[in-house]
Amino acid sequence: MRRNRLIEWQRLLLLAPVFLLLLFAFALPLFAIVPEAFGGDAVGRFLLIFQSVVYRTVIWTTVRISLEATALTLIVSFPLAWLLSRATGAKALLLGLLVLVPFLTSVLVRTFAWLAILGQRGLVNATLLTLGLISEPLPLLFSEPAVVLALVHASIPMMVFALVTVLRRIDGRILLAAHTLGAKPVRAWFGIVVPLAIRGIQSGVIIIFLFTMASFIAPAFLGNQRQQMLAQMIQAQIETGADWRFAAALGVTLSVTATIVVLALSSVARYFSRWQNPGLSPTTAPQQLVQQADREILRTSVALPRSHFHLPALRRLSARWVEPAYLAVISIFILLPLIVLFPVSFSSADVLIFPPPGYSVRWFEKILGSPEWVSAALTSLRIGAAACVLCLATAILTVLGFGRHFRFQGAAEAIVLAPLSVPAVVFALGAYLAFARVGLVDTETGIVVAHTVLIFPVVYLVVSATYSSIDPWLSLASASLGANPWRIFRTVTFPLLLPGLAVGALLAMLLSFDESVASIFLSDLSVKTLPRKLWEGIRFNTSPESAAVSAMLLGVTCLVVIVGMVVVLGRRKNALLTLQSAPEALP
Amino acid sequence: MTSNKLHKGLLAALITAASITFSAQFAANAYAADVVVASYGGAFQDAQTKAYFEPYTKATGTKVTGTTGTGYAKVKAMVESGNITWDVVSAESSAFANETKDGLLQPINYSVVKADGIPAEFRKEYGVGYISFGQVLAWSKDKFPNGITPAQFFDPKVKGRRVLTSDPYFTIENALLADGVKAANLYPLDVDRALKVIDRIKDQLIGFKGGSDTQALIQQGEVDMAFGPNGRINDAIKAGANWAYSWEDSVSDIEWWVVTKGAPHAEEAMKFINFAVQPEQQAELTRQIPYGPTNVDALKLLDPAVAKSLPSYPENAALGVVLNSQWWHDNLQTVKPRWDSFIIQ
Repeated sequence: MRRNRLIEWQRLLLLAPVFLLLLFAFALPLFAIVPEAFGGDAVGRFLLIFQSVVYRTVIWTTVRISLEATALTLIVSFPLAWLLSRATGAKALLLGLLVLVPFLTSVLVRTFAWLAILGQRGLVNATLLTLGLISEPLPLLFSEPAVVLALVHASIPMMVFALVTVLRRIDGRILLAAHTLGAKPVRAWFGIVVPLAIRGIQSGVIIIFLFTMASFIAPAFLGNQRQQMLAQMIQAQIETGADWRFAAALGVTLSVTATIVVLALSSVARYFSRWQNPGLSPTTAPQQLVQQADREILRTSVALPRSHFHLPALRRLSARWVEPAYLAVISIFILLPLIVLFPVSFSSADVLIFPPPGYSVRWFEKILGSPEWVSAALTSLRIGAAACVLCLATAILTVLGFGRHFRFQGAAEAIVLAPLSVPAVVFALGAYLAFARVGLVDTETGIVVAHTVLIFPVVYLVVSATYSSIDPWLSLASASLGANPWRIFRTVTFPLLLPGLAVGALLAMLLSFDESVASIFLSDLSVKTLPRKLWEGIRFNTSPESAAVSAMLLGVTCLVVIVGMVVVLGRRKNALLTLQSAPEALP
Repeated sequence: MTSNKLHKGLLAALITAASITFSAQFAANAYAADVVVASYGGAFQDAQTKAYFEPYTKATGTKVTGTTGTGYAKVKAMVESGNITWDVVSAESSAFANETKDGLLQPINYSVVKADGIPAEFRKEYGVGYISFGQVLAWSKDKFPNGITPAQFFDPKVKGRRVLTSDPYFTIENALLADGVKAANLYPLDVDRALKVIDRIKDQLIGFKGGSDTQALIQQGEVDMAFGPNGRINDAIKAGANWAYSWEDSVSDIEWWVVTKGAPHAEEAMKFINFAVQPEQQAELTRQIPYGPTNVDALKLLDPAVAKSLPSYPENAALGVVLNSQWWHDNLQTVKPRWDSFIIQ
């Protein structure tokens, strides 16, 4: 009894930072909005939203576009995540880069790049016209497919990150076993891989859905009034309507809608994970697991593989080409907006036109000679590093604090993940109102705090997914061998957490670098982050300057990522060696 | 052990990152500005930077920080939250009227701002009118070699990709004039009729966009016809767009210098405004972008040929109307929600 209570106290201490962070930097700012939304004539305000066909249309558009983008992202990213999780050596490095590199480019620039691809004088129309396939440029921009395309493109890296940490834990031989037992590929995938990956799919879907629901840049640049999304309306209300109360009410509407859809998605995920849930399995003893297992697959009589009498050669040929063809298509899709940046940033034109009428380095000369761009880059770097450290430290403490059994795990996780269910726009508005009172608006600290709150749940999801896949018996084994909790953490848990932490750190840095909503709200004149500077640049000057900035960033960060990946790959080899030599190293 | 080394390495990285975080605070005030001016960005703000901001810094040593995003809502939010960072703000007539109405501005100190060349109607208690601009119809010469009329812009039978301004002011006036409403009968605006007129060509609109977006869309060849500010359209043509514009049924308006209530550098703000409305600076802005100076002395410094591209040029003015800011002062609150609902449908 006494020992149990001690453990509870330790847990509370471990959980204190995250709850203090969430209380002061998340709950209080939001609390500044709630009275706004429900103050005064609240009934009239919400009636206005739900009675008006316009707002109902916008809510429906938002949910529809977000669901379309999320579903497409999942379908498009899952094979990529699987291939990445199976890949080794150079292939892993290349696939990893394929995912990481677009992530390093600001969402603003990637959206901007779509203008150069889909525009009337863009890449697609120019190619089709040259080939003589069309006589008039196609109206590709300012349509729903354009918005969804950009959202999917922006979401793929996050989805792959979420999936790959979980997929990597799946033993590939399980598919072989299924095949041996006569399962067809579809059954093997949906009966085994998908349920095993369900934690990753679930977190990926939730992250992407909420990201797309809160996005306003893609619909603003690539859509027209018919693709208007809720986040855009909030931003418009805040920027031009000045009706803070109505903006707050719209924010509440967005959050409630998002929560309902996320709950629905979660129940779908529960259905898929009915017989295997890697997240919960460690909590039960192996014997129980056996009882819980759904033996449906065993009861079903196994059909013998039919003889392949219809075009076996063609089938085999197509099967062999599926992977390279998929990789080629997805690589082109992911890299095109980035590759387009290079000709565009060397353009001699004042606007984004593809192909550029001529080439020059004037945009690079301009940004390198501009102290504003240089200082914005340094500011973003500082903010990213600080947010990353804060997120990682808090995430480790939270995961350890929750441990494996936690009486209120569901509720506590919901609280910890709460920032994900609040659109960045709404949080940014609340943060602006609350931070203004303590003088944190227009300071780097303010943005760091806001970024930490916004990014922490993503880092937590990744770290916790990794933690839940660590075999609990390892800790128990080391405890029984006399290791104290700190030693267990240092020598067992932490090394096993490292891959998750590394992914979390990358995510935190990159998301902070990419984050534009809170930056736009919380920065003004003293502090200008790179996304804010880009936002101003793109919004008020359609010069290839922004493309030049991101082309340069792309070069620098590619280098960093390659170095980072070499370290990670090198470490994995070392880890294997250490494991093999471990018995000798022990005293 | 390797993993121990790695742990130490990671710890070192964490400490380094943490120290960067703390040192970040020292850099926070590096951008302390002596006077902050909020404008619209893009070609217009580039012109202001060359004509006002840079010469002012050169003349006085006071640093001018130009920022973007001016608008009634932003000024209102800023003053009401008490977190005021803008000193001088550039405001359109309707924004100026509503900012005055809500008490968001402080009176112009006319003992500092000396501009005898500016007519009394532009020297109001809370603002100095400094340029005039026109919302004009423009079209692609590739698509319409013979030009188009405002009526054709709102005619669904004339096929083409169009863009309109996201603000209700100007656009409602443009639509009504194109539909045949006489300039004398324009105010009070028949909003219902205007929305019906715009509705006719709504499926050919790529959207309702801001002034700098319009310029970008023109330059990128995304649209075939547009209503936009004459200066930006002129700038797009200067940058190589094969476009033309006309003053027919244009709506001209005055841009004002105002000072926010509680501006941190109010004294500097007045000095800046005084500098910016002097004839030489006003003329320089017009050389950069064809917006008309309000200071009559500035007109004397300009090449007479330039005057022909200004909204105030008699032949241009005769073709269009002047925006009635008083009407928008009285009606923005009721028109804005309707407009917002209309444009998203």
